[in-house]
Amino acid sequence: MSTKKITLLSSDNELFTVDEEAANQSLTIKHLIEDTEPENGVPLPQVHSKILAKVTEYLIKHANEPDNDAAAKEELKNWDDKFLEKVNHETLFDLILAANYLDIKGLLDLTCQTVADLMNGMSVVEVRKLFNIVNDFTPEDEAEVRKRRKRGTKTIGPSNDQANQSNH
Amino acid sequence: MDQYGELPDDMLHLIVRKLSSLVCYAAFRSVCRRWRSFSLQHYKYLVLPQPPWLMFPNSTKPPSRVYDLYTFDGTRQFFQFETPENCERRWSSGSWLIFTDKKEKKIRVWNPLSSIHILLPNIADQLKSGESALPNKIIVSCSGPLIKNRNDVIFGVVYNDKKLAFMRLRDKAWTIVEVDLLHTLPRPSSKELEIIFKDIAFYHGKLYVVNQLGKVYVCEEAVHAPSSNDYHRVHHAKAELLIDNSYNMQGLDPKTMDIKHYLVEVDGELMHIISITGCSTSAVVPETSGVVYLRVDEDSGEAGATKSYNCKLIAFDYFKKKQDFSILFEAKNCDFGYQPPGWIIPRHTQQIGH
Repeated sequence: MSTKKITLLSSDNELFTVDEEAANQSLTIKHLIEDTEPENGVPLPQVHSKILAKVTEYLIKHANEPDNDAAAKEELKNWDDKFLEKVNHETLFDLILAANYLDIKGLLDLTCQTVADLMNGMSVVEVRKLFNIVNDFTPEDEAEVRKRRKRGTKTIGPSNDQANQSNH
Repeated sequence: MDQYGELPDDMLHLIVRKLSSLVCYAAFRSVCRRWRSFSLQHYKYLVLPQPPWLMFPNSTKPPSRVYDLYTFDGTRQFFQFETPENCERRWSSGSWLIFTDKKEKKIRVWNPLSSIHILLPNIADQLKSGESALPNKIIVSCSGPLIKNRNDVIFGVVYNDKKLAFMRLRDKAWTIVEVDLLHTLPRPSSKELEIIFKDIAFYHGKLYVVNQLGKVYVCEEAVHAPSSNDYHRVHHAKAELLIDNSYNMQGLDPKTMDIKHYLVEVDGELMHIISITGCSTSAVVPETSGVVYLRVDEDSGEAGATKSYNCKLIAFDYFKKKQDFSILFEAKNCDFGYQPPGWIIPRHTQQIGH
């Protein structure tokens, strides 16, 4: 097995070295290597070293994904669960953008799942507080929502007349 | 610091797809303008799963028509509503609420998320015998709040304890389902139990029903039967035995034990859940209460193919020791009408049945 090393260059000029196999999980990096054959590391001007450190940690762990080994799969899943446990919301957000930019499907899934899990079971107010989102609805917006709700009220069904059905 | 509000569409798609229920989605779309305009462009997420509502009477001074709707994930109060006048019984199926009307005897179906109302005719009007038809449980085949195709929406009902019927949104009349009990009558003494249906469920367009003995029947015609347009004719369909789980019940005495049956879809699989409460002299059942679950397999209609997980003991232990499940069969003071819906929220769904 080849153990060719790939060097990645973060936006603040820090270098990260990973096996080619690990790096290839990012389709963006894979294509960059194939197209440009960079000598002094693959430049990733959109990713800060703080985030790239997290990303490479993920890439190295997931370099050899087990196919049929249930125990190894379980172990990897547990690792994934812990991986984002202590990450704050700001870093999580940057990780989502980085996973999207670098085109790492597994990491993108994992980070988005984490956001969804945080939101599950929360009220509107709690979600806003959690992610620091400002309620930017104007009174006009709220009136519009109420109007929509009212318009949405309709009765359909087998025992109704034709007029009602065409309404649907 | 408002970055999450500005997430690009691609990533919002990924996140929304992973939300656990429609109520979470309802919260999502009310967070900010950007998320709302995203949700208005993408109605497809209104197919997210939605467990049935929990309904609690609001006033401490009964009788009151005001109820609080709660969701199962964290029993969060979603909102308040007033039941229709003359409301007799109440159910929840997916995101729908179902009421029977004391006066007109019609069935009202309402979705609090989409505000769609559906009015179904009284079954008794179709029966020539003039007998009354008291629904024990009514269900809707789609859990989401939108109706895309009128052919896909089917209503199922158990009435008078022992009768079964379904109706599609495009139909004008109920179709009565005749359950084929002939070759399955085991003991004369159990004949009474045989014909009492405890729960119904839709799964992959088929109608499933379980009786008091623990036998599961399936009616495959629910989707494909020809339209029943003639309101004055009684339409019929057939249901056949799929799985006989009555052997799992041996040693349980229905006289001293409270045995309940539920059909529940959990993580894409249909489960037959048996809840047992009471005392037993049998050595097989070590505890006085517990839950047994069996998988109802779509393709195993043939003899011996029951893929039940040797249920009694394993499931007892499983449900007792593991804290991974919230079993929400009967919430105290919770009003579901005649029978509460069985619904399990698995936190680690992949562990089910293994």
